[in-house]
Parts: sequence; structure tokens; C-alpha cells
Amino acid sequence: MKINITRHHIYMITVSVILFLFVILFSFLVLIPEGKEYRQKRLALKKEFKEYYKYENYHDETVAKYKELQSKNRHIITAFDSIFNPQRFQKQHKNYFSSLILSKLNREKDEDSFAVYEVNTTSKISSPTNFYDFLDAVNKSDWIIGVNFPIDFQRDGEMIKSSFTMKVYANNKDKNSTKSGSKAK
Amino acid sequence: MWSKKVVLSKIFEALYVKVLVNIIIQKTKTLIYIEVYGRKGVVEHIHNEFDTPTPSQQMIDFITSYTKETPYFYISYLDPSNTQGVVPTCNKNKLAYYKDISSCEYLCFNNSWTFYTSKSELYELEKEQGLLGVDFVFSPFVVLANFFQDKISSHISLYVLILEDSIVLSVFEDSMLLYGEHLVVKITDDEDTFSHVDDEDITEIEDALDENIDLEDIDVDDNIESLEDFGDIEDLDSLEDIEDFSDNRDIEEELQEGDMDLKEGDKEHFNQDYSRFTLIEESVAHYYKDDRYESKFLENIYIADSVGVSYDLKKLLEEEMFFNVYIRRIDIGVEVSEIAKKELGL
Amino acid sequence: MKYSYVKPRKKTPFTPEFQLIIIFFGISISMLMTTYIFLLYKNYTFEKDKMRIVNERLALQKDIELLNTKIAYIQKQKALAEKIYTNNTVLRDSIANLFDLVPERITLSKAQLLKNGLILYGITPNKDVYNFMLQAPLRSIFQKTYTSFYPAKNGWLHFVSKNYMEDDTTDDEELTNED
Repeated sequence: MKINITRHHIYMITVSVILFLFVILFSFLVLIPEGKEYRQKRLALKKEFKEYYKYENYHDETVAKYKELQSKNRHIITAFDSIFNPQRFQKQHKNYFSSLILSKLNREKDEDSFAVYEVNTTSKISSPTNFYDFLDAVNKSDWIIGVNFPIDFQRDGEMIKSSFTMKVYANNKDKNSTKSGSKAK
Repeated sequence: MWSKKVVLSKIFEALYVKVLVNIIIQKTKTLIYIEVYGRKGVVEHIHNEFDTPTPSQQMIDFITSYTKETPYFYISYLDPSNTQGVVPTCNKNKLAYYKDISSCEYLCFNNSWTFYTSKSELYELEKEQGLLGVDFVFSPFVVLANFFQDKISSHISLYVLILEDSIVLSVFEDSMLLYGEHLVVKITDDEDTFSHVDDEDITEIEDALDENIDLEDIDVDDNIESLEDFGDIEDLDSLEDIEDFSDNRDIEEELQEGDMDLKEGDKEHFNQDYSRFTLIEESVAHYYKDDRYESKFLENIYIADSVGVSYDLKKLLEEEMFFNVYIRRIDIGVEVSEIAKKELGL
Repeated sequence: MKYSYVKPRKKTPFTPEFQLIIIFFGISISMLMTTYIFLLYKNYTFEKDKMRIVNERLALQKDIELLNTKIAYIQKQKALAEKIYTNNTVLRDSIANLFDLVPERITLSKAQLLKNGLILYGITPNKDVYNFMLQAPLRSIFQKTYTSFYPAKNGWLHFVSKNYMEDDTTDDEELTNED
């Protein structure tokens, strides 16, 4: 039984061996590392996603908190943002006084990074209760105003002449924080 | 210049050897000659013979044992058709003048003559050899022309290829074919005839011989006519003519022949050779008579002998037809392979 | 064809067996290649997505910082406002307390409320009334008290009461009624 290997068979076997080696080498040297990288990258991406969701949650919470604060303190926020209008103030609070005179607005030193304006006020009231009511009303006014010493009361016939200083607090214009928009969804 | 595909296929070819399988189908057997052709030439060659004209399992196995070596194997056949021949022109319009080739497959050789074969017989060959397949089918005329290519280019001569059961005959001058014919040798039961060689049967044999002689007489008459065409007899006696005549003797060929051993025929071979001679004689007569062919006088006959003819044939041709006879042995398998190589450009 | 009646069959080294081998390896290798290309593509998209997610997270981080600053600011505003409001309220209460402090028989003509002190101008019938009714409570509130009298037209006494606090903890005067 003579096994005759023809040249054609040799060529075929050689080609088969070469292709087989290529398949093996390719699988081990190229495919498997790529597969490892695939697994690693997939894990990394999953981790990143998880991290992102954490941040997203925290962000949503923060936005909610901010919105809540905004809505709860709207009056205060707008008050800080408003420019002091002496005429309007006079109009709003003249009920408490028989006369109310406001001086010019003086820009004082910033307090706690808020702009501070001082207004000297002279007024005439009929009784101290007016002043008390006025003080209550000031807290509800359109501006953040603190009544400060020195406060003078002087009897003037039936009326009491009173003078006091008011400090108006407002946002510092270069702060620009409430005006800018944030990524609140 | 060469497309990418051609370059690629050439590279592939160079990686393999070529196997040329040459099959010569005869009436009772098949001759096979296989050549393994590497880059530097023939690497291996082998002859074989199978006693069947159709492919047997043995034959197929033998051939397959060589062809499985390479995808570049070519199986060439010597056209065994009964209906085949040549026409001395390549002009398509003139072909019909010589032969009706409407049902034939034909090709032009060297732009000078056309060889043809019957389409139906070609188809039958392809069908019969289905298991092996057919790559080339060559005309024996091409084989003959190639074998004698050194002689064809010179003066006019008769060239004959003698196969086992057929004779291929052609007339060439200056590499141009003037006439050609494919003759089938009828297998007479020579053995039977000669087994009965008793005195009682001699008369029968003599009768048979007589019949042949009758034909001979007729041929002789034709010869005389043609001889007369060549002018007065007196002219023939002139020295010059004799000298020309002698120049036509192929001395080279004669020297070659010297080595050959022509058998002194025994009765069996004689019968075969005699029928061969008859066929040749008929064909030559046909050549002279037919107006379509340029009938020039033939002096020499070159025989490609693939079977081993006897001395009798030579004698017959020399004495009866006054030819200078030159016989060359031919291995038909080898010669078919040569054509195949030429076809492939090897 | 030059000599042969028939054209030879196409000869190719790609015999059926060879073609089978090539097809088999071809399929295997193409599957490997497909997988490889898939992995390359996925790795690329993973990287891209990771970058994107990281960037988005950083953006969120920044936004959270921003929001926190804003929240802090609002809280500051609120704190200040509350302080001011309480100050005002406290002021009111103190003034109210002050005026309640003054008994019926003593009449104030002028009151000066200062940061750390209180200066009262008024008329009292006599010193005793002043001392018991006004001076005593004032003493309990203020650390330093100075009183000067000068007689008035109708026999009553004008008084000038200057009262100061010692400690200067805050700008605002704390006038709490300890009664």
C-alpha cells in the first residue's frame, strides 16, 4: 500500500497549516486581548454610569432645595434685588406718619458683601404706637431695611418728632448671582 | 500589459508540473503516452497499451495515477474520426470548392491550408471519453506536417503517415499543402486467410491477388498518361534530366535509413502492406486526375512509419510507382505530445 | 486554438477539495474578523460613551457647585434679613419697654436712643419719684447712669438722664425688660 503524496496535496496541506496557524495566532494574540479590553471597558463604563446617576440624584436634590429656598424666600430675594425708591417708600409708609421726610441715599461701606445705603429719616408721629407699627411694617416692606441708632424722639406740641437712620441692604451688583441662570431642570 | 488575473494564474502554473496524456485510439486497442513536463523539460515519460478502444477502469486508473499529481494536465487525442481531411486553402469562400464542410469542424494551419473533421464524430469522441475528459483533439495531418517540417519546405514530395488502421497522406511543396487525404485501412481477416494456406486454397488467394492486379493495370494506364504529359521520351534520356532526377534523391534521408531494419515480410504483413500500398496508389491517382488540385509530378515519398512496415511496401512503392522512398520511424505518442506542447507554448 | 479542434478545459489549482478548505477557513476567518471588528467598534463606543458620561458628570458637578453657592447666598440673605427683622422687632420691643418704663408722673420731652446708651430729657415732679420710678429700673438695665437736674418753672425738675452700657458686644443695644 503505497501512499503517494502529490505536489498538489503538499500545497494544500501547506496552505491549510498556514491558515490554521493564522487562525490560532490571530485568536490568541489579537482577539483575546481585544476581548479582555472589551470586558474592562464595559465594566468601567458601568461604573461611570453609576457614578453619574449618583451625581444626577444629588443634583436633582440640590435643584429641588434651591427651588424651595427660592420660592420660600422670594420676598427676601426680591427685596435684596430692588433698588431703594424713596418716593415709593414714603408712599407706602406715610400712613404711620403725619409727615415723613427721607434724605438722600448714601452709599456706605459694604457689610458682609452686601451693598449698604443709609437714609436719614425725619418724621412726625402722633403716638409711639405708630412707630411700633411702622417698625413692623418695615419688616414687610419691599426692601431689606434696618432701623438703626441713633433714634431721636422729641416732643413737639401734640406730635412727636422722630428721626432715625435706616440702613437699606441690597445685592452688590458685581455679585450677579441671582440674575444668572443655572442648569436647574 | 498582463492583467492581475493572468499574472496570478501564471504564478500558479509555475508551481506545478504539467502532465500531458496523449491517447491514440485504434480499432482494437488504445495507445497511451504520458509525459510529465517540469520547468526544465520532460521529467518522466511512459508508454502503455490497453486492449480496448473504449476507456476501461484499468486505463482510467493508470491515467489518474499521473493526473492527480497536478491540476494542470492535458488529455490530447489523435482524431480517430473516419471523416476527416484537409483542404489546400484557408480562404473561407474557396473551401466549398473542395469539400462541403458545413457539418465539419475546421481550423487553418499556418494560414496556408485547412484541416477538418466531422462534428458528429468529434462529439461522439467527447461523449465516449467523458470520464477522463477531452482537452485537445489533433488532426494527424498536423502531426505529419510537424514531423516532416524540415522536408516540407523544400521540393514537392508525398508525405505519408502510416498508423495501425489508417493512412494519412499529403502532398507538400514549399511548405504549402497541395493535396491531402485520410484513408481507412479495411481490416481484412488476414489471419484467417493465411491460416488456410493449403494448396487447395491457393487458387482463391490467386484470385484475390488477381483482383489487385486488375486494379494495378488501371493505375499503370493512368501513370502512362501522366508520364506522357511530361513531354517526349527522348528528352528523358538527356543527361540534364537524369542529373535533376538524381538530385531529387534525398541523400540525408537515405543515410538515416541505413540504420533501419526493415523486416522481410511474412505473408501476414505483406497483405497489410499491400492494402496500404493500394490505398496510397489510389490516392495518388486521385490527386493526378482531379483538376481541383495542382497536379505536379511526385518523385519522392516520405513515410512516417508508426507500426513497422515491411520491406515489401518500400519495394512496391519503388517498383510500381517509381518513388524514391524514405521511411522514418515515428512514435505517434511522442509526436502527438509534441503538438500538445506546441499548442501550450512549452 | 492553433492545432486542436477543441478548447482545453479550464485548469485551476483550486480543485474541489482545495475550494472546500478555502471556504472552511474563509468562513472561520471571516467569523473571527467579524468578532474582531465588533469588539473594536464596541471598545470605541465604550470609550466615547465613557468620555461623554464623564463630561456630563463634571458638568453636573459644576452645576451642583454653582447651585450650592447660590443656595449659600440665599441663605446668607435670609440670615441677614432675619437678623434685620429681629433687630427691628427687638428695637420696637425695646422702645415699647422704654416708654412703658416711664411712669405716669414723669413726662419725657426728648429721648435719644443710641447704640450703647440712652439719653432722656424730661420733667419729673421730684427727685424721689424720678429715682424710684425711673432711675431704679434704668440702673438695672444700664451700667452707667448719670442724671442731672435743673429746676423747671412750675416747681418740677427737668432731668437729663444719660445711661450707658458697658459691654460692647454687638452694635445693637440690648434693652431687655428684666421685669
